[in-house]
Amino acid sequence: MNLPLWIFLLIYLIALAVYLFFAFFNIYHMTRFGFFDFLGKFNTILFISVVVTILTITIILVFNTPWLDSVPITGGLLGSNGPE
Amino acid sequence: MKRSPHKIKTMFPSQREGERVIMMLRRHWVIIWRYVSMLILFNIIPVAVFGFLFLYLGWTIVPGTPLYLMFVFGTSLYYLVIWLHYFHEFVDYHLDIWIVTDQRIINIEQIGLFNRVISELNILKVQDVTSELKGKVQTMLNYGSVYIQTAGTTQRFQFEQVKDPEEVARIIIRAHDNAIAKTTPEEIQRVQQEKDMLNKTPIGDNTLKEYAQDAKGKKF
Repeated sequence: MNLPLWIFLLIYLIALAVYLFFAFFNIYHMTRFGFFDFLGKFNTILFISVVVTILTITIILVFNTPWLDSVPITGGLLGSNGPE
Repeated sequence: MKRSPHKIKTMFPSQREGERVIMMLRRHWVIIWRYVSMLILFNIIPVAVFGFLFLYLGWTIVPGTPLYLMFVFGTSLYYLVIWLHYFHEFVDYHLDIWIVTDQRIINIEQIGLFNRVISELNILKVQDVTSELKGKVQTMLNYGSVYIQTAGTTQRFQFEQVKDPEEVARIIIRAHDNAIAKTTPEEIQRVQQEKDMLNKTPIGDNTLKEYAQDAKGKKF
């Protein structure tokens, strides 16, 4: 039985959608009720910048993955050569 | 007179015309610093663990394999979650505000993500103000709670984990005295009647009228 690699991407994107939902409401609360002072602005911009950076690095790291390839579930799934 | 450590930087949205903000309080900075230090620690842990595994033990992961994808996506989600957790705690900290004006005390509390409670109290209805420093940390860093007793036996406004609670209590009492001194006797009588209705037991010998007369003779 084979496992397509896009399954991992799909799981990640679902988790990311849930994540963005909560992140949006936090940012919304800050902008709507936060009396948008320096500390509020600083933390909001910092949070958005960090999230964008993490997502950019993630995209760069998995960009060349052949998503349509499949790997057998038994054997070769992990793809690690362990300690050398 | 000692100057309050609580500086007023911005006004609040529902401010009335002519209403003067005396102080605007948030929890003590040590509360958010707990989360900042946790964030720093949780950012360092994977770097240390993966650094040990890949640089010291010489482990490698072949790109494009399921393990590689699990590693990248797992690490990505881990960092996203710890930053969201920090930001959520910051929002909770930042949106919990207590405002004391010359007319009222406002308590704005963010409970979780979808629950926001705003309550206010007429400054004339303040009966008793108690400050509390609990434990070694609060005593050392001088932060704690301020309880404001209003009409009724169980109703209490609570300022939690605020800086210099004794000074805050003093400022509230002074604001209350000033408000009484500026209020007409009819208004005082009305508030007194409201208080008497809410309280099952009378306030005592010092009625607000007498208190107002005392307060008018004092300089604030």
